[in-house]
Amino acid sequence: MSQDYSSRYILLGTLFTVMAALIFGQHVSLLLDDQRGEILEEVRASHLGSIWTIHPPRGLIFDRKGQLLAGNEMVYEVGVDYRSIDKEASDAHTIALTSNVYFGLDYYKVKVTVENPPNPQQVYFPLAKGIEKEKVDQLQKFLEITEADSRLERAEKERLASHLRGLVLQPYMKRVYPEPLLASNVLGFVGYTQQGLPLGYFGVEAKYNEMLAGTPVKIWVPNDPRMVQDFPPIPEGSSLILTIDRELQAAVEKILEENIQKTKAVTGVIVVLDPKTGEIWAMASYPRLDISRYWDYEVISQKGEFVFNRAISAMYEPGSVFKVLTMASALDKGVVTEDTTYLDKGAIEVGGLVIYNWDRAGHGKQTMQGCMQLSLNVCLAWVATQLGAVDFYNYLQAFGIGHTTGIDLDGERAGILKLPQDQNWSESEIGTNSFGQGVSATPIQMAAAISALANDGKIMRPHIVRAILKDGEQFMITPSVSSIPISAKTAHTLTEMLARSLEAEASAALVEGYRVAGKTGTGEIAIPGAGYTSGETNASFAGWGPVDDPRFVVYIWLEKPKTSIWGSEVAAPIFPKVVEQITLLMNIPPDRYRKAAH
Amino acid sequence: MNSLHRLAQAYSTTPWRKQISTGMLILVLLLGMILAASLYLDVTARTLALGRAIIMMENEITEVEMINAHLRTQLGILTSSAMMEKRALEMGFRRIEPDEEIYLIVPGYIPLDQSLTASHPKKAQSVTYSLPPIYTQSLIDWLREKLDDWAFFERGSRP
Repeated sequence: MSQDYSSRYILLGTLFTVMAALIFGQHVSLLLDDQRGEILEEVRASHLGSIWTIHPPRGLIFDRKGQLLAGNEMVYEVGVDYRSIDKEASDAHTIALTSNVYFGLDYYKVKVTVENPPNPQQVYFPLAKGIEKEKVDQLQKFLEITEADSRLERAEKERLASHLRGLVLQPYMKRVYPEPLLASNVLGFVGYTQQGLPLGYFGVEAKYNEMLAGTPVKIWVPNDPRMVQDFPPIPEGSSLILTIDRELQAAVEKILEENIQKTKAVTGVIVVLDPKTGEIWAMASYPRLDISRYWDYEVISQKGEFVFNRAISAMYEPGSVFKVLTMASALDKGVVTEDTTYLDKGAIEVGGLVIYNWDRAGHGKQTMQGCMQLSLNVCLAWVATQLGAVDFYNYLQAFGIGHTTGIDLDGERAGILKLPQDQNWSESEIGTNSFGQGVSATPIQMAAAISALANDGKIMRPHIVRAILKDGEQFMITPSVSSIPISAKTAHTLTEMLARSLEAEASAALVEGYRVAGKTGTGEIAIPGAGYTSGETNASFAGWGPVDDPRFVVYIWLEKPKTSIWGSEVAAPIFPKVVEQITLLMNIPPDRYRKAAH
Repeated sequence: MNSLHRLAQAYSTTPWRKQISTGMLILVLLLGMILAASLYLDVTARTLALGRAIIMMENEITEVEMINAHLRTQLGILTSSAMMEKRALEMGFRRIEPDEEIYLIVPGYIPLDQSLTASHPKKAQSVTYSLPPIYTQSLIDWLREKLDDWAFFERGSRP
């Protein structure tokens, strides 16, 4: 007997040994092959449950007084679930009719889509996105009324419900702006990636995208309800409080648009900032985009040179407002003083280039205040030569020219400042740069640079976010010094000189009740290859006040005004209108009340 | 010997009694098993129902949060700059002119910082959210936990 069965025992034993070896081998191979192991783990996990990725609601954006500038709205995606569609019944007709009546969708398109899935395996197809909650509420109300209607037979109610079973209404959050034109250049907008995920473009939405979007959370949802666990709390994206004042922004935008129409300028910018903190109180840019229709951006930008936020992205030759920086540098270095005189003969040669005044006339003996008051190119070119190339460009760099200011907005440009070590620099550049030609800057760069005069020589880093709200707590942004190009004494001296200049010429920039300082600028626009022959200008004005304790800096730029080419005639008159709104909305009392209070 | 056999026979259970006794024992065991099974089924069914209720409530929470965010935005739209200005004009208000401003000097007055909408950051408090085990564990889990507790207690680890 043992003879008969011994071979079978051996065969069975071998079989078991081989099987054990195979199992052991498979274990070892899975241990060594991470990728395959992970795939098998995923297969195992998919039978036990599924992983949901939950995107937290996007953080909100408020103005400095807590008014909502960007929020989230509940909207619906309407889709069809082919698994619940009965082709024999009139499901397609009912869904198409309901979608047409309640959501305004095309009846025939929806009917065809419901009747013909794009491919046989498709179980779901979205019909429309962004359907307002109110419309869905109306449909739900209708269904509730139908359900409660005692005149209808039970079977009839069930038939209606079964016809609509394939209609899927999936809620989601959509970015919405209560006033889609207000500060649109600052806010930016939220578009969607190819994967359908929200993504910030331009402005604050882009710069703080990750912070606003929050961290998506992956949750494992078991198929077995016994294994269900409560969802962990999903923290919302951080919310932002901006430095912008909504009312002031609206007022400044209105003033800018009125003056664009009045002067027939092509574009324009007004920047209002607090020189002591670098906070931007208002930043208006014309033209601007309706961010509730952000998809228009592509169309608009293809038509011409549309710049989303001209205040930070549009570079231009600022013209005579730049003289403020030249004079500040020279005073600070000590190569000239307030009382230094210059004999203006109407022309000066710098590096082989003859520079003339704006009126091509000589104005005789002038003090430095006279040079600034009459905006003499020749005098400022002389001042720059007295300073020398090395110091002149060191000062300009300290003022932030040629560098981005670091403002927390997406899309800032650095401008162009040629330096003596650059190959395309020539000695004549000192002369032209001294009065803002041959150098390009953005309005925010100019505003930040000039803010040094209003803040004891210190430039505070301009910023747009004042505080961050996270998990119910508010984190304030601490203002930081960007650079200190000049001394406090120089800042006070030049401010006083420019205040006296405005008063002496009875400038249109003067403001009733407030002593202010400022400088106009008229920069000719060059035609490539032909020089400054276009006859068109960039009109600017930079002003600040109150002189004894500056609280605001206003920078105005109008591109190619038609009614007058001069900054003193088109840009300067805008200044008092803006200041009136600033003082009213930011609680800055007239000088006499302020001084009396102290 | 014979009398001893008779005595044993007299005190021994009759076969039909033995059969009844065995049958009853089986019935008792069966009843016990049915009781335990129905108890297990009842608890499991309730756990399942609770599990589903939790999922539905989680969905409801998400929807309520979405509705809250929606309403907050609607409030933002209703109090937007343009809407407030329109309403103010309809109510007969007008914009103040600069020469109409009246300033009063109030000694010691410090204006409020209007941008403070939330509390200042403080030391983070760890908050954990979890359902009590009673809502999630099965009867077997509960029994195992109690047995573990008992074994733990028996070993004298507890004071």
